[in-house]
Amino acid sequence: MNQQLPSDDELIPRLLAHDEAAYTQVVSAYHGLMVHLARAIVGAAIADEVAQEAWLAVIKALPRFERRSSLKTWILRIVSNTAKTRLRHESRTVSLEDTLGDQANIDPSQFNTSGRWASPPTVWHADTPDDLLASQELRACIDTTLRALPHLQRAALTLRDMQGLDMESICKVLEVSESNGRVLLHRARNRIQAAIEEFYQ
Amino acid sequence: MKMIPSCREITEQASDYLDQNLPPWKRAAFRMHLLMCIYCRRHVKHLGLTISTLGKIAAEENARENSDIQQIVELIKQELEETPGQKGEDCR
Ligand SMILES: [Zn+2]
Repeated sequence: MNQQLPSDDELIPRLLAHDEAAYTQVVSAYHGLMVHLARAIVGAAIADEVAQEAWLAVIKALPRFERRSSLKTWILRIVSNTAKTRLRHESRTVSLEDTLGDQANIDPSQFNTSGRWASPPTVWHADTPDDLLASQELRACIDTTLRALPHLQRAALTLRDMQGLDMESICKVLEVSESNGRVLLHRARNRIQAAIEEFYQ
Repeated sequence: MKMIPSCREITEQASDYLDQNLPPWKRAAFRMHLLMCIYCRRHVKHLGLTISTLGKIAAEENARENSDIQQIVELIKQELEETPGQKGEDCR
């Protein structure tokens, strides 16, 4: 796979000087992640196209990059914006209001008026991810739920729990506040958990 | 203000709890509730398992996928030929 990526300080001047080896290193390191993020926002069908478009935008914008974030975060933000623009062109919206206004997914009837469980969680009979994923049916159910998440929720979940980015970078990439970023992540996780829960009921 | 959160509040804070993002006093109250409530212990355990399962799915996907890096680099090369670089000497 890719060797250790040089620091931004070393990479950026080389990229600006059109050093092909530097581009190869950066593409190897970040392209996969870019496709995952694009897929979360625009769906699988055009994710590759969006990632390519983002590379061209990166080349254009690099001379104006002010280094207020890491190169990685900056590139991912370009992917996020390219993807959002694409959605807008297809008149699908990706507004934060839509995503946050969306019902929190823990069903209020699960609790009684004093806030205690009225219908407690079922036992899952699974202790590890492998136990859960042994069922093809459950795997498919998680996948369907992931794809049905609101765009920004899916993007936050993909970057945090699936690709391991820290929350601060994620909020910069998606251009949301820290607290909104946490709400997006929380809701997305709850939806997946609720889908697994339903499977075991 | 009451000291110990309700089950409902536990479900609202669980994500931040697992991310170590609750302030110390809230974290302590959260743990106090867990000590007394088997259902919330179960809920939090399930959320943790949900998160690690997502990580596992991603690891499998990442291993399976290999986008054509060379194809992207070719595309970039073409674009660079049409874009002025910052080498200095070839600017004038
Ligand atoms: Zn409880």
